[in-house]
Amino acid sequence: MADAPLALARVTKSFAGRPAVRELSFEVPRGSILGFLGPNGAGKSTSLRIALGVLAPDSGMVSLFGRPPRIDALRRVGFLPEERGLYRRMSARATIAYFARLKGVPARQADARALLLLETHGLGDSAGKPVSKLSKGMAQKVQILSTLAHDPELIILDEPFSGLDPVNQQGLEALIVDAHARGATIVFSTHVMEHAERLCDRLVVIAKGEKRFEGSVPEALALIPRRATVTVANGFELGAAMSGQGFLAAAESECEGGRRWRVDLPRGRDAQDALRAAIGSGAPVTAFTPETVRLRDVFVSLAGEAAPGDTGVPGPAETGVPGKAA
Amino acid sequence: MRSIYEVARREYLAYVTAWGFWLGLILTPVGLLVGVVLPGMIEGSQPVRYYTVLDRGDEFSRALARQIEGWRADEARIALAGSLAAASTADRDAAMDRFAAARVAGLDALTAVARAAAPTAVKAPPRRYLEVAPPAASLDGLRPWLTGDSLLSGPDGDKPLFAALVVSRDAAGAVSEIAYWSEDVVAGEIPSAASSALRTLARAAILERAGLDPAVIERADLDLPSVVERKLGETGETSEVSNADRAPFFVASAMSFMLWLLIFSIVNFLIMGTIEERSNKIFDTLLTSVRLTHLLAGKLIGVFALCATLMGAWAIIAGAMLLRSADPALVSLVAAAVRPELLLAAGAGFLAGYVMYAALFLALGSLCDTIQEAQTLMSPLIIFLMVPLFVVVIAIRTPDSPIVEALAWFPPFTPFLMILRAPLEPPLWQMLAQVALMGGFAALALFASVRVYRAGAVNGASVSQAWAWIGRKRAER
Repeated sequence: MADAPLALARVTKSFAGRPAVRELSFEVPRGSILGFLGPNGAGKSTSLRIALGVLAPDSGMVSLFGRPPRIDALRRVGFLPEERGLYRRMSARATIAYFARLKGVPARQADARALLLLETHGLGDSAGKPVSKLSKGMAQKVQILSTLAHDPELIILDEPFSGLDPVNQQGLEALIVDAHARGATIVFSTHVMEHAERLCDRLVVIAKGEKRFEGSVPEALALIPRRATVTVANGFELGAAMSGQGFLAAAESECEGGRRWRVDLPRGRDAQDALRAAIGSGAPVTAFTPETVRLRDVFVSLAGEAAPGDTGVPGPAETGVPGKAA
Repeated sequence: MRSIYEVARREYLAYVTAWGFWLGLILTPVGLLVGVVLPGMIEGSQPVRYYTVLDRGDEFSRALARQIEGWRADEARIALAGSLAAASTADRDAAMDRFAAARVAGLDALTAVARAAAPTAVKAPPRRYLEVAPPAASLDGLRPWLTGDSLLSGPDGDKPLFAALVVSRDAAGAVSEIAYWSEDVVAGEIPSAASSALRTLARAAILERAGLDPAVIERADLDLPSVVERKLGETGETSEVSNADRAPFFVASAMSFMLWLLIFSIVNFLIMGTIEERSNKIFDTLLTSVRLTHLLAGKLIGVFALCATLMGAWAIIAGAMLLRSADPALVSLVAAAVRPELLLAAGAGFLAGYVMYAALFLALGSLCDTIQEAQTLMSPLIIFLMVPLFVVVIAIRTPDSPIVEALAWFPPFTPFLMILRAPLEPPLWQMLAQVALMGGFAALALFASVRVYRAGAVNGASVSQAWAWIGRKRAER
């Protein structure tokens, strides 16, 4: 916990008696890109505000660079809040420089850095324009650049992609990758799994204020049983044939090439193994489609309305993935 | 400390670069100047008004003219005394004596001022009413001139007849009634002068019957002894009360009003600025960059610097106008007003008053999402702010009233009333205790403001939830 730039331990927070975050614990390893995933209202923003000391937890502990989240530690953090806003009359350049100065960057350096960032990201011509005269996308970019202007060691972005068009989303992804390449640790919350899938090496999934998963992306993908679809002709009974080889196959539907079977891939066996087993059992295979597990499916399973044990998804204890229990 | 400076700098620059700030900076002194100068200009620009008297004799009209001229002489005496404020006592007394002698000699006000030979120019009051011979012998005949259909030629050019006084007498020749006719039903100087003239004539008639010479009576009226206001000095000596003695009261009133104006000005700066931050969702970004207490301190300092700029600019404008006027009397009055107790009261009052009210506005602003929401709060706030102004207006006349003294211990009013009462030289312990009271109340206001601001900024609390937050034990950073 001491080495992790950010760690939460058994953090609980309620508003007017209603729990928003319950016993939340997770760590952000140094140099990682951690996706903080959860549906709307899951408690992501509240958790991040607690992590940054904006809100105090009812119980539990927050460690930011091994210390409580106070201003000296926060100087090393860049934070993009979910609800974004800037001083409308300030120019783009002054805005970035102001927030950099508040983080301790010397005035002249802050101003030069602001201009450089704006020029690098295609806003050089708008550096002197007040924020109110910028388009929404440009203003969002200015705010993101304000988050990065002091070259923070830990960057926390709350729903950074929300409201951005695909081009700007791509630009933001590039910014995140670039900051990560320079050694920054990055945490971003989202409920859009494609970004997490592309960028993250670790994930924390929360729902209803509780942690449902913490681990790497492959570990998350492993939570969903992998499957393949096998189509066999002539009414071949694939279920009985595959069970003898350690596979569970269930008939799904009739189709043009025969009958379609869904085959679950047990841990340690992949789609090729299933195909070999089907052919080896003498099945007249007319089609074979390995199913790709997407993070989206994992997310839906973990963050759905029902509790983890009720979703059909193996609970943390069953998956054997380390560190998943909240 | 650097973060406080950064916040203060941003606040200051955000407002000082807005055109509204400069408009306020220029228009406020212009408005005050117009408010001070315009009434005098209006009065000074009043044209000479013609009046006439329809009477069988002329003793009433002469008495009326003397009465009107007497009033003008009173104004001339005040103007003369004002112009002599910077002169030595001997020079002042000599000039005033020359003026009085000229009046006793029957000279008009203008000539008497000239005879006084004051070292500086005296702006003698203009003539406002002038008697003219009646253009007709009856009221019906005067009607075209009274209505303005016909103009009357007189010493001041062609004008309508402003008023006519028709004197009715009984069989014995005594005045039984005077009818005053005029299209203007507001101006009451001539009826008032007519009443005074009648009293003078009645008294003169009684004294004449008692054997006194009318000329002696007239001289006696002009040779009335004056009432001299004197004061006791600290070492037992006495001296005449001058405008320099009154100056601290005027300056204290002006300072008290300036404090009110300052507080009224910052309402917009603080409330609107905080609303912008709340509605634009800037708080979270700010609070991960700067401590809440530093944020508030920066805002208070930034807006205070803004107010100091306003006051400084107004002081420079006022100083420049004072120097340009090259009026030694005015300069000596201002110099006389600068007293340590007034400076202490003004310094403490401005600082504590600013902190108290600014903390209140910051807290209120943090609870509002929109300007409309703020406006619903502003109405009661403005009324609350008007109360000290009303108290100040009354307290200017009665700064030693027990109620004013008691109100001076009510912290929201203390800054205004402490300044106002300073020229009365209240006991030092009272002033120090009031300074301590204001300091304590300002600290309390700041404490509550931090709590409320935190509730509004961090938790999005509304006005109705503010009280609950003030009492919370544990709160966010």
